[in-house]
Amino acid sequence: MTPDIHALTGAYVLNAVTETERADFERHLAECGACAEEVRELEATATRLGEAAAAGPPAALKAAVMARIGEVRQLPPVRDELAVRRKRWSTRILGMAAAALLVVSVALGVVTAQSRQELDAGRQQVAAMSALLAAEDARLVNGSTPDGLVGTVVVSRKRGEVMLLADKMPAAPQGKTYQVWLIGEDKRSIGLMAPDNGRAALMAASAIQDAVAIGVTVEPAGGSDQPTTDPVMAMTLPT
Amino acid sequence: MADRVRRITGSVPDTELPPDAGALLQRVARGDEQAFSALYDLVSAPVFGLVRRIVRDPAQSEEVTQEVMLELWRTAARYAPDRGSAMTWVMTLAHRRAVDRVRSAQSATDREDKAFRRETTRPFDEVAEQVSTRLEYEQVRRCLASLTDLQRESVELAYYRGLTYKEVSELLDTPLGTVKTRLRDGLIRLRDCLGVAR
Repeated sequence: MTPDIHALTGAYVLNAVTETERADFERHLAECGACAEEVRELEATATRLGEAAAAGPPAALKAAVMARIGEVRQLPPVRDELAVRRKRWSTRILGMAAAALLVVSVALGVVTAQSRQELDAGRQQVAAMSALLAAEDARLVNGSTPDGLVGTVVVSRKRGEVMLLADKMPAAPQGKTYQVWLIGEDKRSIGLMAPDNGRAALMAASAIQDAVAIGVTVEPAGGSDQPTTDPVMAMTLPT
Repeated sequence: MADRVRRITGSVPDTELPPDAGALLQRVARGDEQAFSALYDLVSAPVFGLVRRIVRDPAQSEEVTQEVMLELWRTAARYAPDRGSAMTWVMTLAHRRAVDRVRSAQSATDREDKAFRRETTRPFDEVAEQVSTRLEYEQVRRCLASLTDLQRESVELAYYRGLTYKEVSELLDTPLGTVKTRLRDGLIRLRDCLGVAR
């Protein structure tokens, strides 16, 4: 935390910053717990200044507002894919950086090489993941299920590649396996997924064509031709 | 929050206390129009008062207030109680929208504006007076008065006029770094004076 950016908490809370400064500061805020706490307190303080200026609006305004809400769709609680897609560049890069970190950690967790051959395969896998992340049109979606399973999908339509990273994924039940599907006109398996320490990664370099979603189901060991259970996790693919 | 409401409303019996904005927002998130109507009654005066203080133009102030209220309806489900009280969430949104409005109007006439600012004498006396005459809450007025002149002027120009700290610096003829620091330590002093929960 540099003292210079920390001094910006006051100006930030008062909206006395430019858009660029706001974006910079919010990036800083995400990593600075002390700043976030100070911002919360100062926002509450500024609120008191705002309330002190209270003045009732004309009565007709309420009727106008109440009439309008019928025409305004309410957002669902979690950020939807559209919002993710519309994210600003800076945020997308942050997401990419986070994904790159995740790739490294997943790779370290997943690639437990026993032999030279396995080590090479592991390296190739990491290289392929990195190439996908670096793709010009790479898009990323994060999501989580109510029971805490965290998924990240990275897609490059140009490369025709998709990658699914999972975290906090429990081991599949005895005699079962996780199977990952691309969902479009039909459901195509792109492979089996075995979490190691809760983490797993799977990359499909096959053309992703018309796929609109990716899903994970629990299948009998060895996998199925078509999903036989409801997905434990499903995410919409960014376009 | 409840404590403060009780204190401010003073003579109003407890049973007639307005419902908590956070609880209302939760119901609004589920599409409850009645809760939204109650939320409007609770927050529209602070929102409109603050917006009008910044925007000044009555018609535009109503427009911005309407925008803010519709935004509350639209995004109620996104309110996260762990990041602050509902009232703070509402007022932060209102302030941002009001500031956006004056800045976009401003950017159109920025060149004249700059020239105008250079010729203008410090207008903060007028601002300060309006603030103090319209402050409904003794405590806020007392706490503002406890700031140094530079802290108070900086905070008021930024918050009630919607100026950036660079504009405040220009207007007060004070170095940028100083204004940045005064905005922060001014708010911190206000926080401590108002007893805002830490």
